[in-house]
Amino acid sequence: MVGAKRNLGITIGKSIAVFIFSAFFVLPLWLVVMASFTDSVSFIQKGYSFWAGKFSVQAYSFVFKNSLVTTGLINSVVATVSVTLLSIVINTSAAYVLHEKNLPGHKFLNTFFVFTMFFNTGMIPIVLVIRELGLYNTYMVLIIPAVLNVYNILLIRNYFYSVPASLKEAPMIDGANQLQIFVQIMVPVSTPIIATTALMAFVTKWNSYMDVLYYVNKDNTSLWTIQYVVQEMLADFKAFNDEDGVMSKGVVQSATIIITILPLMLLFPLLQKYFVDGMTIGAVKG
Amino acid sequence: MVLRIRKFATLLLAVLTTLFVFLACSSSMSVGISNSGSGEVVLSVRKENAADIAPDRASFEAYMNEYVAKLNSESVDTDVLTVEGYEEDDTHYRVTVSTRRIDTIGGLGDIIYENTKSFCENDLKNLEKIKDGYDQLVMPSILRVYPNAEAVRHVMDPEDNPIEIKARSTDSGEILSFEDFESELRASEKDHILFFQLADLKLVDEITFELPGEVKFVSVMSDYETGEEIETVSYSGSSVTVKGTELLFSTGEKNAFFGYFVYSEGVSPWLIAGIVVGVLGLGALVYFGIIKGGIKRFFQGSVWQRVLRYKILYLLILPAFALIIMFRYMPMVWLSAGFMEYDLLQGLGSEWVGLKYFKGVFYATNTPEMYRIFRNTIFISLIRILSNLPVILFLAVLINSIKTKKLRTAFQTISFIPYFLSWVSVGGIFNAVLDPNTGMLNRMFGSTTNWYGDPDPWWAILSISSLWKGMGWSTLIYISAMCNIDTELYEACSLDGGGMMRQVFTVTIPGIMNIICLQLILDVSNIMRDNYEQILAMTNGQVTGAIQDTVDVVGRISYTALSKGNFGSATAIGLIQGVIGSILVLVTNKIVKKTENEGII
Repeated sequence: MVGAKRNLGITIGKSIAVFIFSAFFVLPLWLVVMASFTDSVSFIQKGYSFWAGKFSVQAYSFVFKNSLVTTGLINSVVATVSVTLLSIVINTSAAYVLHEKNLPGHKFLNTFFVFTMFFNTGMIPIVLVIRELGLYNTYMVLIIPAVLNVYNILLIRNYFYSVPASLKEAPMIDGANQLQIFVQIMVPVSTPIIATTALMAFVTKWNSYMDVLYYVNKDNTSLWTIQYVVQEMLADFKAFNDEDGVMSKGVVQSATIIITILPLMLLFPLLQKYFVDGMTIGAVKG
Repeated sequence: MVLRIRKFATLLLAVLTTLFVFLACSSSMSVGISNSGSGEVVLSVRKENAADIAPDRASFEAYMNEYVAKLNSESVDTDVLTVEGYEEDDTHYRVTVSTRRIDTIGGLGDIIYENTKSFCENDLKNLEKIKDGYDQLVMPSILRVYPNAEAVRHVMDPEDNPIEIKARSTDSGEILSFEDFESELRASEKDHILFFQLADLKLVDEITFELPGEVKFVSVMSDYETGEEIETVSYSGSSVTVKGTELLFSTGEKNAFFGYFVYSEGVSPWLIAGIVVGVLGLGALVYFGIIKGGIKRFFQGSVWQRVLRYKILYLLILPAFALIIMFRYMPMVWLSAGFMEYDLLQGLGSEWVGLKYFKGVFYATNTPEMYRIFRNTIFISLIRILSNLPVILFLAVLINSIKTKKLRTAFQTISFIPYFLSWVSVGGIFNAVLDPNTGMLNRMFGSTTNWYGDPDPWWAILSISSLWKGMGWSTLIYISAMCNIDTELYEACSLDGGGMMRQVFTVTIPGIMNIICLQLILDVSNIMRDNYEQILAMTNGQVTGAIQDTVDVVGRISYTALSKGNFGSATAIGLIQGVIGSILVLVTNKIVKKTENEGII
């Protein structure tokens, strides 16, 4: 009897805790979603609240007419898609080469890649190199520096190591060359890890903000990504409002934020599955 | 063991080769354009003249040190002049002063070290400015080099107004160009020029200029109007000595003397080293490869056969190899910018200043700003680690205790969402809560707190936002550790009458203690790494003003230095931070290995 009462108490306590945590996670996001669908005038009266005041999609139509936002979106999409595709091709190829133990120079190449994991130069020397290479303030700077990811290369390499050697031997006897084995055998069996690393590259690039801050001249709005646009909007909304200044800051920035996180939410089921996989695939060993 | 040595040797070779290649490239490019204005000047003072101020050598040194410090403080940078040493003979004190990045030494005059070509071009520009009436005080040195040019008369004569300047040589009557300079200066494009105009030298009666190259031509004058040349100039090798008690230091109006030296910089020592290494390498290649037949053997050997078999793989790794050199290895070379007065045009050929910026950071730790920055960096990390851990553990236990699978998955999914959002979005989302006018907090409690202007709550806000973004994800590792706890332990505890709380504290927490320690140690090793992106995003970019008291971190000063173009100092700060971070990681990794856990490295 006492035990049952105590269990009931624990269950109630647990329920309350789950509820509080859920609220903690969801509430801020909810406020933004609601605000993005609120009419500007009614937003100024009510502020951020649990329930939208007067329903309206004017914020979204306003945002999509703003050239800074649309340029930012296009830049982000182009950069993110390019980086993701390039990183799949380049990182997977590199991983395959690094995994081939018979390759002359195998040890040197592996050491050459792994070494960089333990030596982080920080941001400024990279900025200097980017300026030296003439990439500063060009479209390429949004793409090229983000492609290489040594951690991901080693993740894929370790996955290749775990592929049974017999899979490769059979076609080799049949006279297949290295490229055929890589493309036709190794890539298909390694899709989970390739997908994981591709998603990582996608999320990192889509969310990146510091690259524009460091690699692009602030006045060059044609290279702003959507994250940078959001940050600028939060810092100084006046530059984004129209001449009459009718739109309320909270409404517009909420709509922009929702647009920014929408692609991630669409990918969320995939992200959750593959990121957890990626974590359990575990530590990279040099 | 042998294997390890070989690995190390390969590694060392790789790094050294890269370093060498880049240094060789950059130095060969920079030969002839590094005009950083570094040189040495020896000032001689007759003892009897100095007797009034400084009766003995010690007091003379004290006087000179103070004088140089004063000149530095009036100049653009703090290390323009450095006293290198004192010497003494029967009649003179000799002070050696080294100079760098000289533009104007406040209170003393001008010394300009420059490439002859850019010197002339700048001068012609100045001439244009005068013509446009820009600033009559801009006195182009071209005119001083050509004391007899018409223009000199106009500038020097204030009554001749409006000034009509045609930089014409009186001899030929033609407008001057670089080629004229070339012949007048007896210089070529690659030569350098030291132009100086010194006043107020008071006691000094002999000056020796040590130039970074061989002197080709000198011209020293004591008078603008007549352009009278000082005869007592001698030069040999890389030094020029100007003597002339009367001319230099005559009292009255003409107490300035001026002139220019043309010198050519020698070949860069890097280039010589590069050539030597190249020749040696070539020699070795010829000896071992051709004479001893190594090349032939190599191409017949099994290694080359394998290279041929895998040749396509070298092509496959080429893009990644190029990228890793560009964005991982090249930045390592560019770390040397921390030891330079880094200039974008000169790149790695910029002037070396040694530990200037590192000293700058450490001396500056005494200032309130630096103290604040390091305090904030460490405190923000500490508060985040200590406050987040209990909550994360609580959530992990909570999720683990939910037995209904659907509820558990749903709850975990919700907790994951923030992890995938960018810091910028998180900053905007928190703005919904914190905004002073429309934010939920102020609306709910009817308060008017300006969260973005008040420094006090920011350590808490940063810590809570870290929790919001990372908590769901961080629980994963603890939950998977909890899965490994033997269920019999729970049963035994339950049989002994232990309730849920008891089970948590006697079974679950001890069961995952290893992981907790590991995570804590990892966190502590990252204590010096500030998350400047988070701070920029959470404060909505408003990191100035009162709020700086609590949110100013190391990342901010290196960013500010960068945006102001102080690349050397920005690199130095980043390097210090990185080195401290690396040391902490290595130390904690050692500790982790001692605790029977596998280290991360």
